[in-house]
Amino acid sequence: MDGRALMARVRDGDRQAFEALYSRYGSPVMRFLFRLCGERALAEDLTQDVFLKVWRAAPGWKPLGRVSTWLFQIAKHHWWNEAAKRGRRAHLEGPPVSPDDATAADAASERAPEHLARAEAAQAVAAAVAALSPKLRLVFVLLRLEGLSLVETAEIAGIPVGTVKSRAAAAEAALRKHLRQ
Amino acid sequence: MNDPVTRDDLVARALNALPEDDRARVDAAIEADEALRLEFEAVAGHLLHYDALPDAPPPPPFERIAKRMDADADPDLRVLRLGEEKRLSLWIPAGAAAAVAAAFVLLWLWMKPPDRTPQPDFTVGDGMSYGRSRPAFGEGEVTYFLFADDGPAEAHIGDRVRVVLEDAQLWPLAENRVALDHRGRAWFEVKPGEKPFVVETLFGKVTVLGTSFEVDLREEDLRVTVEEGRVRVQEVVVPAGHAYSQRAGRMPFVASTPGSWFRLPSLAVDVRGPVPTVNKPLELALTLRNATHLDMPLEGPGSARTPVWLRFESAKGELLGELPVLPANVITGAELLDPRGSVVLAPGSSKVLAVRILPPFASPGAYRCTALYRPEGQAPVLSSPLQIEVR
Repeated sequence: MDGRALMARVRDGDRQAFEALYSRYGSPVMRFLFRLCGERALAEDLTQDVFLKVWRAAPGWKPLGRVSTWLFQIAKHHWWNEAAKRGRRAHLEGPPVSPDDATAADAASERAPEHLARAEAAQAVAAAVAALSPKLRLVFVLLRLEGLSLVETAEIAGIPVGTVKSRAAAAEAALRKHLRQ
Repeated sequence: MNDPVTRDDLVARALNALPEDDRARVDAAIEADEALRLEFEAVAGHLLHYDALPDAPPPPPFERIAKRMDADADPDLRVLRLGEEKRLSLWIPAGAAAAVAAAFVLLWLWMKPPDRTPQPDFTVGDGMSYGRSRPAFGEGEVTYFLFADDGPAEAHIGDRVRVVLEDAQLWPLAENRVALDHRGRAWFEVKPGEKPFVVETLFGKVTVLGTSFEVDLREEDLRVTVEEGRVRVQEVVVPAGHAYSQRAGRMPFVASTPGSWFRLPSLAVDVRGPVPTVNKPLELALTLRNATHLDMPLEGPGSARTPVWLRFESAKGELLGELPVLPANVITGAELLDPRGSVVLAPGSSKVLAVRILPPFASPGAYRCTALYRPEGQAPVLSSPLQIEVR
């Protein structure tokens, strides 16, 4: 069943369909929020909030676009609003580079010395992404890490395609510069 | 024929995010083209770092969300709401009256014809795509917009307008109205019609009845080149074979095309009414130098900081190409919002011709101004700020 059909059932109050929707889109939304805020616990909270909002907003849902785009839009708004509301500027300004969050890389570094380089690279890249401004990070995460198209990224970020292109180029330039240091 | 491989294709290939068919196409292109191969290696080398990013943790179990969904429907919460209803019950008559009034308003709004015209039909040619977004200018709601995938592409808006977009984004807002993004180039061919056709830009409106013209928007620069007919850019009418140029906050120019901007004596201006602009002396000196081919130094470094308000008189616009200095009133002052003094210029002047204080700034007091004067046989000079006393 495609996303829209699933969402149509959620709109009618079908809780099983909502669970199916969550199992399909929970991971991408969690990954997206984790890349934006950089903190596992916060990303989990935000993911729950986003899907609760989806459940509450479902009766008014209209099949106008892709469900994933709609979900990412809600997630983006929620990330932005929550960070501002809680005064957690740090989460807007950049995710912390914490060993707790770099789980895969750290586990790798404990297993074998050859993974140390990867762990260091992970920290370096995470730091570089963290150093991006919120606007650049949002575009970079959607376009380059989530692999969305230019148009989808523009719709979610609420900016023109040309701006997406220029922000993506600026983000990559900033990352390159950061990683060379 | 295969589609050309774009940088996005290379990035997607490096991220291993291409479907199988596309992957084969991109691989073949990389194999065949040395320059493309080098670019791909640069992209892939760069993206190796991205792969190093830590994996994202899994989402929380659904049960946690289910628990919160249940809390939403908790009977305790219903009791709370019932309590609120009790407190609110005193307001029931007022609420009912408000509801009736709101119903009337809604009914009126429903019966009233919509204020805005619906977005027009458009057709796109090869290489042109469209999406939905909020326009950069014009009405703020989300509508369709057009953009060229890679290089010039054509679209038709309604049955009157043909447009070729190069790197601009265009929102067709109505049959006779479009908005352009903050930069890019678009060429329009507009069939004559009853209503003027309007292109909205950051710098204002470009209005035509029926013509062909190009709008070239840069970060801080607008150029409109007219091929046929006449185009009005804000208050300036640009005839066929001429082009209009304006930088943000500076004076607009109209020049015959083709040719370099600001190059005399081909300059011709058709200005209806004064064209106000705000410049600093350094910019003014550079502009005057470009217009007159005369070197125009600043007398002292302090003069560069004094703002200048320059106003062209429309009647003299056509003489621009012949005069050694521009026929302009220059009002200068320490603050833009509080212009204090003025210098009246005239061609062939060997000194400052006259200094006068224009109303409403003629009250007694000390004023600062910058003078533009022309020593005999030399280039015009912008003076350091002068102190003028009015008694």
